[in-house]
Order: sequence, then structure tokens, then C-alpha cells
Amino acid sequence: MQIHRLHLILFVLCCSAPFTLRAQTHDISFGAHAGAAFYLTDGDFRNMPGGTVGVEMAYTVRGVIANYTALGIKIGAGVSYANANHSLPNYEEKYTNIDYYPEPMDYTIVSATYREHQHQLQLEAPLFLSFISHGLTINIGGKFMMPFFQRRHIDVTDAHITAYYPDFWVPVTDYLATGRLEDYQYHGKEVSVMSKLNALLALEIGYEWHAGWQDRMGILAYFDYGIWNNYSNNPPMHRLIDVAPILNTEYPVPDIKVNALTDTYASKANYMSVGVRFYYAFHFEQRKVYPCRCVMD
Amino acid sequence: MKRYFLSILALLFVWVSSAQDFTKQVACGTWINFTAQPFDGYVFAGWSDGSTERARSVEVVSDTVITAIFHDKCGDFADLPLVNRYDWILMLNVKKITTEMNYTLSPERVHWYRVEGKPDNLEFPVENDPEDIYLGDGYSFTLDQNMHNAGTFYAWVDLLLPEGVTCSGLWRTEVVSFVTANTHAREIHLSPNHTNINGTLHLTGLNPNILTYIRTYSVTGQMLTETNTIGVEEYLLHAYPASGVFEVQVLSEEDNVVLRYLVKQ
Repeated sequence: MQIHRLHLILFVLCCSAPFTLRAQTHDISFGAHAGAAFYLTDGDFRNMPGGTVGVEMAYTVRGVIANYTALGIKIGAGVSYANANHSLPNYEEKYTNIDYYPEPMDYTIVSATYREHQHQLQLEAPLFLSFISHGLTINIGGKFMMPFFQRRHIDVTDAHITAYYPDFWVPVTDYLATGRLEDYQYHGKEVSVMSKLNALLALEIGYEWHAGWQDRMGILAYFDYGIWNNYSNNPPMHRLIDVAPILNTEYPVPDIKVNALTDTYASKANYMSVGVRFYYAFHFEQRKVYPCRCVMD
Repeated sequence: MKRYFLSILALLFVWVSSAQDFTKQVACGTWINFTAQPFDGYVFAGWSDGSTERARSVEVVSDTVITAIFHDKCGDFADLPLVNRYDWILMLNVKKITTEMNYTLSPERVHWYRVEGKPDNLEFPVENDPEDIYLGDGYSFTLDQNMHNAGTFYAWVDLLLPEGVTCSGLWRTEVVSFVTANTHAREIHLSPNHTNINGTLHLTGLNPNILTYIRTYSVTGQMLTETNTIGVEEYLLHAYPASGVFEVQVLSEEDNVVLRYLVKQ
């Protein structure tokens, strides 16, 4: 009787193996993504989307917790290109300079459009909690994003600089001695200094399916949102189109600096990206099988 | 006996009103007496043959046209204030013209010229000197860079006043010369630009290092006086002892400008 009772216990244990057996899956994936990128700022101008493309590889390890269901972590590394745009239509700014006479000059600066294009190459290192069930894949976690090459282009159209002499009631527009933009200043390129280190909240949702043998393919919609970065700026550091006072008595031509919208107006700039990711994963399973024969004596 | 026509015309300098012209056919050798009588608000400036006597007696020996020249009785005739900044920008002092002289003007009514050849063609007192080069319109005038050695500039301004006030029309600004490189422009001023008979005017901005000729012309181009000076930046000019508008030419190796003044009755 006691022997039968022991066998019954062993039988129950063995037959419950699907629920108690622990297997691990390992995926090494290579993928690419494309989508839209933003630098969300607090400046009083428009944050326009740009694009992003990139490649990455990842390693995912999951433990099977139920039939066709596994939970684990995913880590990876990637490199991508991203650009984001900012625009300020109908820019107008007024300020007063005093030249060496001294003569007050009331400046009015206008432009039809003022666009700034941020370009950067960046390294990305994600860490996800990864869940998959019947092919439905959800990855949620964080990501470090580190731009290592940053440039920006500034495009200004139809800009005019008018210096008004209030003592004489005379405006002088787009003249060398009172200030005008030169051709090269309408389309400027320069090194930009945006954030060098970003922490992003990252979410991926998609579907994964078998791709022959044991390999997998997947498609994910992703969403990255910056929650911290080391970008710091204290606007207004300067004016957007900054005409210096005329101080040179021999060559009365003011220096004019065409500044970036972000440098001039934004104290914060958070990266955000949405898009689609494709990947191919080499899938390995490591089953912890307890040898058991469900045989009743 | 052969008969000739005598025409006596009236030219109102700057602004032509309802002047009455006169034409009469008379016998050769006839003496005709006539007098220039300005309307209110005008002064007699002289005759087209150079005479400045208001009452004339002319013997008609051929077809003859004599024009009496009148001008608005305006104290601030010509020499509207200019401002030179950095030797790069010439500006009309719109604020002064508007607030102190009570004129109304607009940028499209300001016409800039560069003196070409003789500073002013005195045969065309109303119109601009046709030899001078028209440069453009606006309250200011600039070259690509500075104006050193660029020449002598002035503007004609078509001023407006409320209806009924006669002192309007084309007025000329001060004349500014940029004739010497590496030196700032001297602005030659005549102030005031109106006086009474036997009054004096101050001619300033002369170059004391060179000989400068100062010539007075009637508006019909007749040279009335000539003098010269050296060693002074300011010259006390005695007004011509007759009512009317007169032009002062300041001529030297560096300067060649014409200024105008009015002698009131």
C-alpha cells in the first residue's frame, strides 16, 4: 500500500512536468529599424519630425513560464542615424543697439522661415524586460542613447535686417554698415552641441514567428522617449539673428551671428523616436528535462 | 513800320500758380515799361536777362521774350538737413524736417543725385541739373561700402504741406562731398539760409589748407560776386543786396558745391 502510494506521487510529479519543467530560450538577433525622430524642446517654435534609421543586434534570454509563453530580458547594442527639425515661421525680433557715435539704432529682424536641422549618429544600448506569448512580443525597459557625431544645418529664407535711426526717423535695410545677411549665412552648417548622453524609456510591441529551422523573425513597433539627458542651456544666451553694435570707426560693419533655434530658445531638448523594427533571431532552447517514466508498476 | 512781339512771362520758382502772361505786338523801337509784382507769398527773384530791377523799361527792336522769376517766400529754402553716418550712409533728417519744419514727405519723394561736372546747372533752377546722375529714391543713400572719393551728393525732396501753404514743391538738401580718401567728409553748410537785405550768412566747413573761391550767382546763372579765402574754416558771407534767391558756389581743389539762400524784402 505504501509502495503504491509512493508510485502515485511519482506519477503525479512526472505528469505535471509541462508545468514544472523549466526551459530557457536564447535569441541572438540582428535587426534594423526606421522611423521618425524628434527633439522635443520647450522653445517657442515648432518641433518637427525627422527620420531615423539604424542597425542593431540583441541577445534575449527568456524562461518558459507556460506553453508558448516566456519571460526574460533583452540587451543589445546598435548604431543609428537620426535627424530632427525645428522651424520658426515669420520670425520677427526687435532690439536696440548703440553705435560708437553713440547713436541708438532700433533693429527689426524678420525672416519668412527659419529652419534648423539636427543630424546625429548615435549609439544605443537597450535593456528590456522581454515577454513573448504565442508570438506576441512585448519589450519594455530603458535605453541609453549616446550621440557621437552631431551637426546642424540652419536655413533662413527672405531675411531682412532693418536699422532704424530714431533720431532722424530713417530706416536703413539690408546694408553692409547697418547689417545684412550674406549668402553663406542663409544656409549655415555647424557643429551642434545637443545632449551627449540620453536615458530613454523604451517600448516595443510586435509579433515573432518561425523562420525555418529554429530561427525566428519579428517585427516590432517601437517607441523611445527621453526621460533624462545632459543637455543644458540657459536661454536667452543671445538673439536668434544677433547684430552686434557698430564699434569700428574705420570699418563700421557689424558682426552678425545666425544662431540656432535650440541654442537661443530651448532650455530642454528630449529625444523621442517612433518606428518599426525588423529582426532575424537565431533561436536556441535549453531544456531542463527531468528523466521520468510515467509507468505504474 | 515793322512790328515785333514782346512777351512778358512770369515764372514762379518751384510752384507755378495763376501767373498772367503778357504778349503784345508793338512797333519797332517802342519803349515798354513794366514792373514785376509778386503775389502774396512770393518774392521777385529777377529777370531772365539777368536784371534784378523790378521796374523795367525795354525798347522793342526784335521779337523778345522776358521772363520774370518769382519764388516762394519760404525762409528755409533748400539746404534741407542731411546726416552723414560713418561716411557710409547719407540720411535725410526726416525727424527735423517733419517736426521742426512741419513738412510732410515720403521716401519715394526723395531723389538722390551725384554731382557730375559742374555742381549745379544754373540755367535750370527749377529742375535738377540734367548732368547730375540720378541714384535712386529713399530717405537714405548708400554705396556698397564707404563713400570716400565717391563724389558729391545731394537729394531733391518733393515736400508737402497742408493745402493753402505755398512752401512746398521740390527742395534740395545740403550738399555733401566725399572727395578725399582717408578723411571724413566735410559738410559745407550755409546758415542761416535766409536773411534780410544787408544780412550776413555763415559759410562753414571750408578746408583752411587750400584756396577756396566763393561765388554768388543769381538763379538765372549770372555771377554777381566772387571772392576767395584760405586759412579759415568759416567765412562770413554778406548777402547780395537785393531780394530773391541766390546761389553760392564753393569751389576749390576738393570742393565744388552749390548752396542757396533767400534774401527777403
